[in-house]
Amino acid sequence: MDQIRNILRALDWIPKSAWSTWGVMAVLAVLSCAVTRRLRTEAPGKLQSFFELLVEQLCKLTREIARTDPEPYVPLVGTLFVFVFVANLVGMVPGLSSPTADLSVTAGLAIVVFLAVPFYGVRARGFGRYLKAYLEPNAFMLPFNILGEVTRTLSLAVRLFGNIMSGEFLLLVVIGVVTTVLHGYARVFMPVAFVLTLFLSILSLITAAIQAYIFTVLALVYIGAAVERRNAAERKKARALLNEEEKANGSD
Amino acid sequence: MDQIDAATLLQVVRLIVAGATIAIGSIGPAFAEGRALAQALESIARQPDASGTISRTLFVGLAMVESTAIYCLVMAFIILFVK
Repeated sequence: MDQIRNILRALDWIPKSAWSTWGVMAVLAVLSCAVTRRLRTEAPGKLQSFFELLVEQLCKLTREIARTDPEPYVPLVGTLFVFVFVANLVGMVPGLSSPTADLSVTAGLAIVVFLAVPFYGVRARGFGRYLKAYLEPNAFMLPFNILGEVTRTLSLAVRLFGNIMSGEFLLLVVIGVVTTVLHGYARVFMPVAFVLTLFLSILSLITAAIQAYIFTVLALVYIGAAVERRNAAERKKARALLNEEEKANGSD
Repeated sequence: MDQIDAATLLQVVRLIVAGATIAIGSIGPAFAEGRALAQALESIARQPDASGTISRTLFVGLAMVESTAIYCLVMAFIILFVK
């Protein structure tokens, strides 16, 4: 008995969000293995169809935003989306709190994006041309470009954290006010608090989906910008080509 | 009346300033997001075909506008918790 208690005490320094992060990761890993274990081209199961739909939509989104072949980017971006979405929803389970309600977790995710940008940029365009993009439109903009890189990572982390944390915090405040300040009138205010928490829960469900989407899209925008940072002439040519393509598609 | 010591006074000032930071700092982004949303709705009403592109750009744009409010949130946290 004492030994178990000692082990539990030794594990106490690991924060809650680390447990829930690893829990979400384990669930997603097991689920991915289970889904991809028996892939069939003929008569795919319901689960396979659902995940095929998800992957297809992510590919489409990537192609539209990054305007390149989506294949190298979908693994990272799709993982980010699925992880953030599931992690946001974990907070809905009574007794658990979202890992994304912890700034450390969202900062980690943002750092992944921060590192992925030069990785993909250098891979797509080469070291020199990637670095040269920092000097555009002219060398004077170098500090601002670097500053932008840092602040957008910061805002990526804090946006997700702020939205998820405030959702959980509001629930806590509503329940806390009813059970402490208005304790004498609990019979009157309990139904009000119940309805209010219900609406707040629905609101945080919506927030969970939207924030996962926004995180993914922003990561894609950043990666896409690093991959195809062109000079003005190239951009004009690419846009003309795209317009012609759209016209050709439209006339069909 | 009892004398208020410096630490309590500092705490009170912190609370007031943090509240003011969020309150004032979210006015601008709220107006901006409202404008962007109204414009996007109008565009979608005019051209329902382009709703996919419009709403995706809207989301990214809203996220950008929102970051101003998020910086205010960060500042409020710093004011509240950093000693």
